Amino acid sequence: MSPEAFITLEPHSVAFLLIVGFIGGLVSGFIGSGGAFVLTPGMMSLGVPGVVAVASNLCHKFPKALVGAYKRNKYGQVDITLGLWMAATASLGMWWGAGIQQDIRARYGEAGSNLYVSVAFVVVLTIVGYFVLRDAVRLYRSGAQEETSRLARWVQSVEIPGTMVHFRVANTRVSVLFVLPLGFATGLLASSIAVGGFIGVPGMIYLLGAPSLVASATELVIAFVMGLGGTFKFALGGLVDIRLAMLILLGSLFGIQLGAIGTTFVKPFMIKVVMATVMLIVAVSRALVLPVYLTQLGLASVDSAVMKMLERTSFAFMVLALAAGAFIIVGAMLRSYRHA
Amino acid sequence: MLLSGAASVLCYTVLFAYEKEVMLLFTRTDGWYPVLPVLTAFVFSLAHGAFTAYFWEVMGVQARRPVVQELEE
Repeated sequence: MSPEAFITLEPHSVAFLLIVGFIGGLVSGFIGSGGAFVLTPGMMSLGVPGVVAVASNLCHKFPKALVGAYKRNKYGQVDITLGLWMAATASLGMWWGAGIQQDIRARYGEAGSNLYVSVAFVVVLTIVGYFVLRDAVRLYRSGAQEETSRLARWVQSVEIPGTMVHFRVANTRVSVLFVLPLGFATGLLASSIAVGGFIGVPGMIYLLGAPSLVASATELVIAFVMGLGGTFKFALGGLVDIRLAMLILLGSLFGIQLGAIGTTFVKPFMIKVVMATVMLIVAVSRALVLPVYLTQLGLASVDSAVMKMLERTSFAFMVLALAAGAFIIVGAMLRSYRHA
Repeated sequence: MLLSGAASVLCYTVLFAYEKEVMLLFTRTDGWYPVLPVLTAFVFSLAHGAFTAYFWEVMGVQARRPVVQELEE
Protein backbone atom coordinates (compact mmCIF):
# COMPACT_ATOMS: atom_id res chain seq x y z
CA MET A 1 0.00 0.00 0.00
CA SER A 2 1.46 3.37 -0.95
CA PRO A 3 1.94 5.99 1.81
CA GLU A 4 -0.64 8.25 0.07
CA ALA A 5 -3.29 5.67 0.92
CA PHE A 6 -2.85 6.40 4.64
CA ILE A 7 -5.03 9.06 6.24
CA THR A 8 -3.99 12.61 7.08
CA LEU A 9 -4.14 13.01 10.83
CA GLU A 10 -6.61 15.64 12.02
CA PRO A 11 -6.74 16.92 15.64
CA HIS A 12 -10.04 15.08 16.28
CA SER A 13 -8.54 11.79 15.02
CA VAL A 14 -5.52 12.23 17.30
CA ALA A 15 -7.78 13.00 20.29
CA PHE A 16 -9.92 9.92 19.52
CA LEU A 17 -6.88 7.63 19.36
CA LEU A 18 -5.41 9.03 22.59
CA ILE A 19 -8.65 8.76 24.58
CA VAL A 20 -9.73 5.32 23.34
CA GLY A 21 -6.11 4.18 23.68
CA PHE A 22 -6.09 5.26 27.33
CA ILE A 23 -9.41 3.64 28.20
CA GLY A 24 -8.57 0.47 26.24
CA GLY A 25 -5.23 0.31 28.03
CA LEU A 26 -6.90 0.74 31.40
CA VAL A 27 -9.28 -2.16 30.74
CA SER A 28 -6.47 -4.32 29.28
CA GLY A 29 -4.25 -3.70 32.28
CA PHE A 30 -7.07 -4.89 34.51
CA ILE A 31 -8.69 -7.81 32.66
CA GLY A 32 -5.90 -8.70 30.21
CA SER A 33 -7.62 -7.60 27.01
CA GLY A 34 -9.96 -5.02 25.57
CA GLY A 35 -9.95 -1.93 23.45
CA ALA A 36 -9.52 -3.55 20.04
CA PHE A 37 -13.25 -3.92 19.51
CA VAL A 38 -13.63 -0.12 19.70
CA LEU A 39 -10.28 0.89 18.19
CA THR A 40 -10.55 -1.09 14.96
CA PRO A 41 -14.05 0.07 13.90
CA GLY A 42 -13.21 3.50 15.34
CA MET A 43 -10.17 3.86 13.08
CA MET A 44 -12.24 2.67 10.13
CA SER A 45 -14.79 5.41 10.86
CA LEU A 46 -11.89 7.91 10.61
CA GLY A 47 -11.29 6.68 7.06
CA VAL A 48 -8.57 4.11 7.76
CA PRO A 49 -8.89 1.02 5.49
CA GLY A 50 -10.00 -2.05 7.50
CA VAL A 51 -6.80 -4.02 7.00
CA VAL A 52 -4.63 -1.04 8.06
CA ALA A 53 -6.83 -0.55 11.14
CA VAL A 54 -6.33 -4.20 12.14
CA ALA A 55 -2.57 -4.01 11.47
CA SER A 56 -2.10 -0.75 13.36
CA ASN A 57 -4.15 -2.01 16.28
CA LEU A 58 -1.93 -5.12 16.50
CA CYS A 59 1.18 -2.92 16.36
CA HIS A 60 0.07 -1.06 19.49
CA LYS A 61 -1.22 -4.24 21.15
CA PHE A 62 2.04 -6.11 21.58
CA PRO A 63 4.12 -3.29 23.15
CA LYS A 64 1.15 -2.47 25.38
CA ALA A 65 0.84 -6.11 26.44
CA LEU A 66 4.60 -6.22 27.04
CA VAL A 67 4.48 -3.24 29.39
CA GLY A 68 1.38 -4.62 31.14
CA ALA A 69 2.88 -8.08 31.55
CA TYR A 70 6.12 -6.60 32.91
CA LYS A 71 4.20 -4.51 35.43
CA ARG A 72 1.92 -7.32 36.59
CA ASN A 73 4.83 -9.73 36.74
CA LYS A 74 6.34 -7.37 39.33
CA TYR A 75 3.20 -7.99 41.40
CA GLY A 76 3.73 -11.76 41.04
CA GLN A 77 0.60 -12.25 38.91
CA VAL A 78 2.02 -13.55 35.60
CA ASP A 79 2.51 -17.24 34.91
CA ILE A 80 4.99 -16.93 32.05
CA THR A 81 5.15 -20.69 31.43
CA LEU A 82 1.37 -20.96 31.11
CA GLY A 83 1.31 -17.87 28.88
CA LEU A 84 3.93 -19.30 26.53
CA TRP A 85 2.23 -22.72 26.30
CA MET A 86 -1.06 -21.00 25.47
CA ALA A 87 0.60 -18.57 23.05
CA ALA A 88 2.15 -21.44 21.07
CA THR A 89 -1.22 -22.76 19.95
CA ALA A 90 -2.93 -19.36 20.05
CA SER A 91 -0.73 -18.36 17.12
CA LEU A 92 -1.88 -21.48 15.24
CA GLY A 93 -5.51 -20.72 16.12
CA MET A 94 -5.12 -17.18 14.84
CA TRP A 95 -3.62 -18.42 11.58
CA TRP A 96 -6.38 -21.02 11.12
CA GLY A 97 -9.08 -18.48 12.03
CA ALA A 98 -7.71 -16.03 9.45
CA GLY A 99 -8.05 -18.80 6.84
CA ILE A 100 -11.68 -19.41 7.82
CA GLN A 101 -12.32 -15.67 7.54
CA GLN A 102 -10.80 -15.58 4.06
CA ASP A 103 -12.89 -18.58 2.93
CA ILE A 104 -16.10 -17.01 4.22
CA ARG A 105 -15.25 -13.68 2.58
CA ALA A 106 -14.49 -15.41 -0.74
CA ARG A 107 -17.75 -17.38 -0.64
CA TYR A 108 -20.23 -14.94 0.94
CA GLY A 109 -18.52 -11.53 0.59
CA GLU A 110 -17.91 -8.84 3.21
CA ALA A 111 -21.44 -9.13 4.67
CA GLY A 112 -20.99 -12.89 5.16
CA SER A 113 -17.71 -12.30 6.94
CA ASN A 114 -19.25 -9.61 9.15
CA LEU A 115 -22.18 -11.90 9.95
CA TYR A 116 -19.79 -14.71 10.96
CA VAL A 117 -17.82 -12.34 13.23
CA SER A 118 -20.97 -10.93 14.82
CA VAL A 119 -22.52 -14.36 15.43
CA ALA A 120 -19.21 -15.47 17.02
CA PHE A 121 -19.31 -12.36 19.22
CA VAL A 122 -22.92 -12.86 20.29
CA VAL A 123 -22.76 -16.63 20.95
CA VAL A 124 -19.40 -16.71 22.75
CA LEU A 125 -19.76 -13.51 24.74
CA THR A 126 -23.35 -14.18 25.84
CA ILE A 127 -22.60 -17.70 27.10
CA VAL A 128 -19.21 -17.00 28.68
CA GLY A 129 -20.23 -13.53 29.92
CA TYR A 130 -23.31 -14.98 31.64
CA PHE A 131 -21.27 -17.61 33.52
CA VAL A 132 -18.58 -15.10 34.53
CA LEU A 133 -21.22 -12.64 35.75
CA ARG A 134 -23.07 -15.36 37.70
CA ASP A 135 -19.83 -16.34 39.40
CA ALA A 136 -18.92 -12.70 40.17
CA VAL A 137 -22.38 -12.03 41.69
CA ARG A 138 -22.12 -15.21 43.80
CA LEU A 139 -18.68 -14.17 45.12
CA TYR A 140 -19.91 -10.63 45.81
CA ARG A 141 -23.00 -11.80 47.71
CA SER A 142 -21.27 -14.51 49.73
CA GLY A 143 -18.08 -12.53 50.32
CA ALA A 144 -16.25 -15.84 49.79
CA GLN A 145 -12.76 -16.23 48.36
CA GLU A 146 -12.37 -17.50 44.80
CA GLU A 147 -12.52 -21.30 44.62
CA THR A 148 -11.36 -23.70 41.95
CA SER A 149 -14.34 -24.64 39.77
CA ARG A 150 -15.65 -28.22 39.65
CA LEU A 151 -14.57 -28.47 36.01
CA ALA A 152 -11.04 -27.30 36.85
CA ARG A 153 -10.82 -29.79 39.74
CA TRP A 154 -11.71 -32.57 37.28
CA VAL A 155 -9.13 -31.28 34.74
CA GLN A 156 -6.49 -31.21 37.50
CA SER A 157 -7.40 -34.78 38.45
CA VAL A 158 -6.79 -36.14 34.94
CA GLU A 159 -3.28 -37.63 34.93
CA ILE A 160 -1.86 -38.14 31.44
CA PRO A 161 1.72 -39.37 31.81
CA GLY A 162 4.34 -37.24 30.09
CA THR A 163 2.02 -34.28 29.61
CA MET A 164 1.61 -32.96 33.15
CA VAL A 165 3.00 -29.48 33.87
CA HIS A 166 2.96 -27.61 37.16
CA PHE A 167 2.24 -23.94 36.57
CA ARG A 168 3.73 -22.43 39.69
CA VAL A 169 2.22 -18.93 39.72
CA ALA A 170 -1.21 -20.17 38.64
CA ASN A 171 -0.80 -22.85 41.29
CA THR A 172 -2.26 -25.56 39.12
CA ARG A 173 -0.93 -28.85 37.75
CA VAL A 174 -2.67 -29.89 34.56
CA SER A 175 -1.99 -31.78 31.36
CA VAL A 176 -0.86 -29.57 28.49
CA LEU A 177 -3.40 -31.49 26.41
CA PHE A 178 -5.98 -29.19 28.04
CA VAL A 179 -3.81 -26.07 27.81
CA LEU A 180 -3.02 -26.33 24.09
CA PRO A 181 -6.64 -26.49 22.80
CA LEU A 182 -7.51 -23.57 25.07
CA GLY A 183 -4.68 -21.56 23.53
CA PHE A 184 -5.91 -22.56 20.08
CA ALA A 185 -9.45 -21.37 20.91
CA THR A 186 -8.03 -18.09 22.21
CA GLY A 187 -6.22 -17.50 18.92
CA LEU A 188 -9.23 -18.54 16.90
CA LEU A 189 -11.42 -16.04 18.72
CA ALA A 190 -8.75 -13.35 18.44
CA SER A 191 -8.68 -13.81 14.67
CA SER A 192 -12.42 -13.26 14.37
CA ILE A 193 -13.34 -10.75 17.09
CA ALA A 194 -9.86 -9.37 17.90
CA VAL A 195 -10.24 -10.09 21.63
CA GLY A 196 -9.03 -13.62 22.34
CA GLY A 197 -8.91 -12.85 26.04
CA PHE A 198 -12.68 -13.21 26.24
CA ILE A 199 -12.15 -16.98 25.92
CA GLY A 200 -8.55 -17.24 27.19
CA VAL A 201 -9.08 -15.63 30.59
CA PRO A 202 -12.32 -17.45 31.56
CA GLY A 203 -10.73 -20.65 30.16
CA MET A 204 -7.68 -20.32 32.41
CA ILE A 205 -9.95 -19.63 35.41
CA TYR A 206 -12.72 -22.21 34.95
CA LEU A 207 -10.91 -24.93 32.98
CA LEU A 208 -7.37 -24.83 34.36
CA GLY A 209 -8.11 -23.49 37.84
CA ALA A 210 -5.93 -20.35 37.70
CA PRO A 211 -6.91 -17.43 39.99
CA SER A 212 -8.55 -14.60 38.05
CA LEU A 213 -5.69 -12.21 38.84
CA VAL A 214 -3.17 -14.65 37.37
CA ALA A 215 -5.38 -15.51 34.38
CA SER A 216 -5.92 -11.87 33.41
CA ALA A 217 -2.21 -11.07 33.82
CA THR A 218 -1.10 -14.17 31.89
CA GLU A 219 -3.40 -13.22 29.02
CA LEU A 220 -1.05 -10.27 28.44
CA VAL A 221 1.77 -12.71 27.59
CA ILE A 222 -0.48 -14.38 25.00
CA ALA A 223 -1.54 -10.98 23.64
CA PHE A 224 2.13 -9.98 23.32
CA VAL A 225 3.08 -13.09 21.33
CA MET A 226 0.02 -12.95 19.06
CA GLY A 227 0.35 -9.18 18.57
CA LEU A 228 4.03 -9.45 17.70
CA GLY A 229 3.45 -12.22 15.14
CA GLY A 230 0.43 -10.43 13.68
CA THR A 231 2.25 -7.11 13.38
CA PHE A 232 5.14 -8.71 11.55
CA LYS A 233 2.76 -10.49 9.17
CA PHE A 234 0.99 -7.23 8.29
CA ALA A 235 4.29 -5.30 8.15
CA LEU A 236 5.46 -7.70 5.43
CA GLY A 237 2.58 -6.29 3.36
CA GLY A 238 3.45 -2.67 4.27
CA LEU A 239 0.10 -2.27 6.02
CA VAL A 240 1.08 -0.88 9.44
CA ASP A 241 0.40 2.84 9.96
CA ILE A 242 3.04 3.42 12.61
CA ARG A 243 1.66 6.91 13.41
CA LEU A 244 -1.74 5.50 14.38
CA ALA A 245 -0.18 2.65 16.35
CA MET A 246 2.14 4.92 18.34
CA LEU A 247 -0.60 7.47 19.03
CA ILE A 248 -2.80 4.73 20.49
CA LEU A 249 0.22 3.49 22.45
CA LEU A 250 0.78 7.01 23.82
CA GLY A 251 -2.56 6.87 25.64
CA SER A 252 -2.71 3.14 26.26
CA LEU A 253 0.54 2.91 28.24
CA PHE A 254 -0.84 5.47 30.73
CA GLY A 255 -3.97 3.31 30.89
CA ILE A 256 -2.31 -0.07 31.21
CA GLN A 257 -0.09 1.10 34.07
CA LEU A 258 -3.16 2.37 35.92
CA GLY A 259 -5.17 -0.79 35.19
CA ALA A 260 -2.31 -2.98 36.43
CA ILE A 261 -2.00 -0.93 39.62
CA GLY A 262 -5.79 -1.20 39.96
CA THR A 263 -5.59 -4.99 40.31
CA THR A 264 -3.74 -4.49 43.61
CA PHE A 265 -6.51 -2.24 44.97
CA VAL A 266 -9.56 -4.42 44.48
CA LYS A 267 -10.85 -7.85 45.41
CA PRO A 268 -10.10 -10.45 42.69
CA PHE A 269 -13.78 -10.96 41.82
CA MET A 270 -13.82 -7.40 40.42
CA ILE A 271 -11.86 -8.75 37.43
CA LYS A 272 -14.85 -11.00 36.72
CA VAL A 273 -17.33 -8.13 37.20
CA VAL A 274 -15.50 -5.93 34.68
CA MET A 275 -14.98 -8.77 32.22
CA ALA A 276 -18.62 -9.90 32.32
CA THR A 277 -19.91 -6.32 31.98
CA VAL A 278 -17.73 -5.60 28.96
CA MET A 279 -18.54 -8.96 27.34
CA LEU A 280 -22.30 -8.70 27.74
CA ILE A 281 -22.52 -5.10 26.49
CA VAL A 282 -20.34 -6.00 23.47
CA ALA A 283 -22.63 -8.98 22.81
CA VAL A 284 -25.64 -6.61 22.71
CA SER A 285 -23.72 -4.30 20.38
CA ARG A 286 -23.03 -7.11 17.91
CA ALA A 287 -26.56 -8.52 18.18
CA LEU A 288 -27.88 -5.11 17.07
CA VAL A 289 -26.10 -5.29 13.71
CA LEU A 290 -27.13 -8.86 12.87
CA PRO A 291 -30.23 -7.66 10.91
CA VAL A 292 -27.96 -5.36 8.86
CA TYR A 293 -25.72 -8.20 7.66
CA LEU A 294 -28.71 -10.53 7.15
CA THR A 295 -30.28 -7.86 4.91
CA GLN A 296 -27.04 -7.41 2.95
CA LEU A 297 -27.03 -11.18 2.35
CA GLY A 298 -30.66 -11.07 1.20
CA LEU A 299 -31.85 -13.16 4.17
CA ALA A 300 -33.87 -10.34 5.78
CA SER A 301 -35.33 -7.00 4.79
CA VAL A 302 -34.56 -3.93 6.87
CA ASP A 303 -35.00 -0.31 5.78
CA SER A 304 -31.69 1.50 5.01
CA ALA A 305 -32.41 4.27 7.54
CA VAL A 306 -33.01 1.65 10.22
CA MET A 307 -29.79 -0.14 9.20
CA LYS A 308 -27.83 3.09 9.61
CA MET A 309 -29.39 3.67 13.01
CA LEU A 310 -28.59 0.09 14.10
CA GLU A 311 -24.96 0.48 13.03
CA ARG A 312 -24.60 3.74 14.97
CA THR A 313 -26.30 2.31 18.05
CA SER A 314 -24.07 -0.76 17.84
CA PHE A 315 -20.91 1.38 17.82
CA ALA A 316 -22.29 3.44 20.72
CA PHE A 317 -22.73 0.20 22.69
CA MET A 318 -19.11 -0.78 21.93
CA VAL A 319 -17.93 2.56 23.34
CA LEU A 320 -20.30 2.09 26.28
CA ALA A 321 -18.79 -1.36 26.99
CA LEU A 322 -15.30 0.08 27.23
CA ALA A 323 -16.41 3.13 29.20
CA ALA A 324 -18.41 0.96 31.64
CA GLY A 325 -15.34 -1.24 32.20
CA ALA A 326 -13.15 1.80 32.86
CA PHE A 327 -15.81 3.35 35.12
CA ILE A 328 -16.05 0.22 37.29
CA ILE A 329 -12.25 -0.05 37.57
CA VAL A 330 -11.72 3.59 38.54
CA GLY A 331 -14.75 3.48 40.88
CA ALA A 332 -13.46 0.36 42.62
CA MET A 333 -9.99 1.91 42.98
CA LEU A 334 -11.43 5.12 44.45
CA ARG A 335 -13.63 3.17 46.91
CA SER A 336 -10.67 1.09 47.99
CA TYR A 337 -8.54 4.24 48.35
CA ARG A 338 -11.14 5.94 50.58
CA HIS A 339 -11.54 2.89 52.82
CA ALA A 340 -7.79 2.52 53.31
CA MET B 1 11.36 10.24 35.21
CA LEU B 2 12.91 13.22 33.41
CA LEU B 3 15.16 10.97 31.36
CA SER B 4 12.38 8.61 30.27
CA GLY B 5 10.06 11.58 29.67
CA ALA B 6 12.66 13.25 27.46
CA ALA B 7 13.23 9.97 25.58
CA SER B 8 9.49 9.55 25.04
CA VAL B 9 9.09 13.14 23.79
CA LEU B 10 12.08 12.65 21.49
CA CYS B 11 10.58 9.47 20.00
CA TYR B 12 7.25 11.14 19.23
CA THR B 13 8.90 14.35 17.97
CA VAL B 14 11.08 12.43 15.50
CA LEU B 15 8.12 10.29 14.37
CA PHE B 16 5.90 13.27 13.55
CA ALA B 17 8.61 15.73 12.41
CA TYR B 18 9.68 13.19 9.77
CA GLU B 19 6.18 11.76 9.22
CA LYS B 20 6.41 11.51 5.42
CA GLU B 21 9.88 9.96 5.39
CA VAL B 22 8.90 7.53 8.15
CA MET B 23 5.77 6.41 6.33
CA LEU B 24 7.74 5.91 3.10
CA LEU B 25 10.29 3.68 4.82
CA PHE B 26 7.89 1.85 7.15
CA THR B 27 5.54 0.76 4.38
CA ARG B 28 8.28 -0.73 2.21
CA THR B 29 7.96 -4.48 1.86
CA ASP B 30 11.45 -5.31 0.60
CA GLY B 31 14.52 -6.33 2.58
CA TRP B 32 14.50 -5.71 6.31
CA TYR B 33 12.08 -2.74 6.15
CA PRO B 34 9.10 -4.72 7.58
CA VAL B 35 11.09 -5.06 10.81
CA LEU B 36 11.01 -1.27 11.32
CA PRO B 37 7.45 -1.02 12.77
CA VAL B 38 8.20 -3.88 15.17
CA LEU B 39 11.50 -2.36 16.34
CA THR B 40 9.91 1.06 16.68
CA ALA B 41 7.13 -0.34 18.85
CA PHE B 42 9.72 -1.93 21.15
CA VAL B 43 11.70 1.33 21.45
CA PHE B 44 8.56 3.38 22.18
CA SER B 45 7.33 0.84 24.74
CA LEU B 46 10.66 1.04 26.53
CA ALA B 47 10.85 4.85 26.66
CA HIS B 48 7.16 5.66 27.08
CA GLY B 49 6.50 2.62 29.28
CA ALA B 50 9.15 3.76 31.78
CA PHE B 51 7.80 7.31 31.69
CA THR B 52 4.19 6.28 32.33
CA ALA B 53 5.27 4.07 35.25
CA TYR B 54 7.08 7.02 36.88
CA PHE B 55 4.16 9.32 36.03
CA TRP B 56 1.65 7.39 38.17
CA GLU B 57 4.23 6.99 40.92
CA VAL B 58 4.78 10.76 41.06
CA MET B 59 1.00 11.25 41.02
CA GLY B 60 0.85 9.10 44.14
CA VAL B 61 -0.92 6.16 42.50
CA GLN B 62 1.04 3.11 43.56
CA ALA B 63 0.31 -0.59 44.02
CA ARG B 64 -1.53 -1.20 47.27
CA ARG B 65 0.07 -4.53 48.20
CA PRO B 66 2.02 -7.32 46.58
CA VAL B 67 -0.85 -9.42 45.26
CA VAL B 68 1.21 -12.58 45.38
CA GLN B 69 0.68 -12.59 49.16
CA GLU B 70 -3.07 -12.59 48.72
CA LEU B 71 -2.91 -15.41 46.20
CA GLU B 72 -0.94 -17.52 48.63
CA GLU B 73 -3.35 -16.88 51.52
